[in-house]
Amino acid sequence: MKETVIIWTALVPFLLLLWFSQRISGCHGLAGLALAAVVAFAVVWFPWFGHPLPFWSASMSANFSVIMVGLLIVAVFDRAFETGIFRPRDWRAAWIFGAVASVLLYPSALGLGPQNFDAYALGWPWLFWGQSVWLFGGAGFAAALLIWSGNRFGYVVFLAMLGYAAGFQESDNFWDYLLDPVYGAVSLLMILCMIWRRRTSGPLVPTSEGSSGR
Amino acid sequence: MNGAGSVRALLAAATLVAGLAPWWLAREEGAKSFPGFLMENGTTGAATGAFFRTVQVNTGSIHAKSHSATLAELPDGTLVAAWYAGSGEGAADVAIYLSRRGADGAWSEPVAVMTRERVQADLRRNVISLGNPSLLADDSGRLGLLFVSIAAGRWSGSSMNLAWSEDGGLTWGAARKLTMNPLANLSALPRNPPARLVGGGWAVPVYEEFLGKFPETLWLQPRGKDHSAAVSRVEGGVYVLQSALVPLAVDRAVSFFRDFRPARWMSASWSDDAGRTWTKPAVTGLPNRDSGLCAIRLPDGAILSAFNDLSPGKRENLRLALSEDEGRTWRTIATLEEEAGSEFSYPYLIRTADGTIRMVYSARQTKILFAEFNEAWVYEQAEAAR
Repeated sequence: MKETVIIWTALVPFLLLLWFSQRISGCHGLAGLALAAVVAFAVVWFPWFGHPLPFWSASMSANFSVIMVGLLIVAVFDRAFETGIFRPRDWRAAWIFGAVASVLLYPSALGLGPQNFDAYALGWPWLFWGQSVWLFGGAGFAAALLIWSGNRFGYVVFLAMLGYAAGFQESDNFWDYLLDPVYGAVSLLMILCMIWRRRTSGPLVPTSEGSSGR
Repeated sequence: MNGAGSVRALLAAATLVAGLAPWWLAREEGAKSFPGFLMENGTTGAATGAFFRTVQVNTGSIHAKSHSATLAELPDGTLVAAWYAGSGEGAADVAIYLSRRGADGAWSEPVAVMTRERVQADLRRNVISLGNPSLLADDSGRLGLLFVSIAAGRWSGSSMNLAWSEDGGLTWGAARKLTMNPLANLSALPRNPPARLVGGGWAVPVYEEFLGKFPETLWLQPRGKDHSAAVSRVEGGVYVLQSALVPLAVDRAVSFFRDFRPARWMSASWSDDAGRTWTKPAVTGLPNRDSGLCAIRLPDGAILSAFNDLSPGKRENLRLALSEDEGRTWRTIATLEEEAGSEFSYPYLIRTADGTIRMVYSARQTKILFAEFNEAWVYEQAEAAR
């Protein structure tokens, strides 16, 4: 098992705990972040039933997407320093990207789409090289378009591409750098919330970032 | 365009390049992605006298469950069999056992080569049980072991692992996890012999049984000291799984499936592009009660299948059938086992370099049995069944 995989599987529960403890404590600033980090670190490496959290989280998935990690880092920093790294439209792009990718990937990967088509196989560029250009080119084009239009979520997608090139995950499938079930589920939920809000109150108001645009 | 706009444009262009770079760099590997099946006819055993013999591999086994056996031949002719055994399916004490048969013709005492504790340490994650091994042997004597570890629940919570042995299965390197599914990598299991590929590597029949139940091919191809792994779909949905992959030519193959639709006939798909795409599964004339089956190609092009016939009970018999039209029609030629109330299952056939057909299967999911016979015996049975 690659050492980077262990770090990665520890990073996601650590960031999640950090974010939750920030929300619960309401602490802001460097001191609040440091305090939350100490708590999160202790919880992550505490031997729950004989093993630390990364052991248990890796049991279910060692392939948390780079995008989810990127979004968690943004959320943690935004909450700690009220920096407004992501504006509402950046978050909106993140949820739309996750929801669209989930709809494209999961039904076919689970054998529920067209019988012989598996979108997941396109994530191995050496397998169906010709067809894989749609995934790699599509993700690259989407990220480029976002960056071009000034949407900061594009940089997170860009980081996912660099992560794939570096190959630090257990998986060598490109999809696993872009998407994971947690990010996919949250994205779909956020899209549903956005649609619900639009139907009931008009303009879109993302909920979680709590920051104003610069 | 202002300065910030220029920087953004430059970054956007760099992003597009970064997205396409891994794809472009994979073009050489991509050109070899479906290299074709290695056709190994070997010596024909038809000229020698007909013979058939059978023996138990796991004699003295204390396990309540021994099942899903696999078999491989090393370059020196040593046979290696592996299976999972323990107190029950999905139990914590289930381990992958291995036995070798050398020149003396006797099977060695089975040894647990992969235990739950060992795999848990190798993978650094929770493992509640093990199952479904599949052996891969190459010309250098290197032996691969694919097997599943269950993280949660039963088989739908399983995922695939790969370990290598440089000494014919006596000692094993650390197991590594293969990622084959985007949904927490759940539910991928091997079943039936792998087909060797031109240029090295294997096409391994695997299947998923989570929300969908369907067959896939795991493509293992040499990359550095190990192999790259990628999975392609054979058929989706929820009606066939556990394919038996039989190469017919370098670029042609047929896959037979365990079919659990009400009619319960074995179904088959054909590929004319070295396994890249497959036809829609078509029902064949071979009755099969939703149970594991296996098939191999004989040197004259006929296909031999081992299967459970459509008997009223469960897997109460194990029969052989022969097809002379690439799996479209079948003729049952022999009954290897038949006993009311018993169970004979998961046959695994290989044809070794000397032309002998070797098979392992489980009886009552407690005994691992080994049978060997030659083509002369097969055709003798076929003649008698006419």
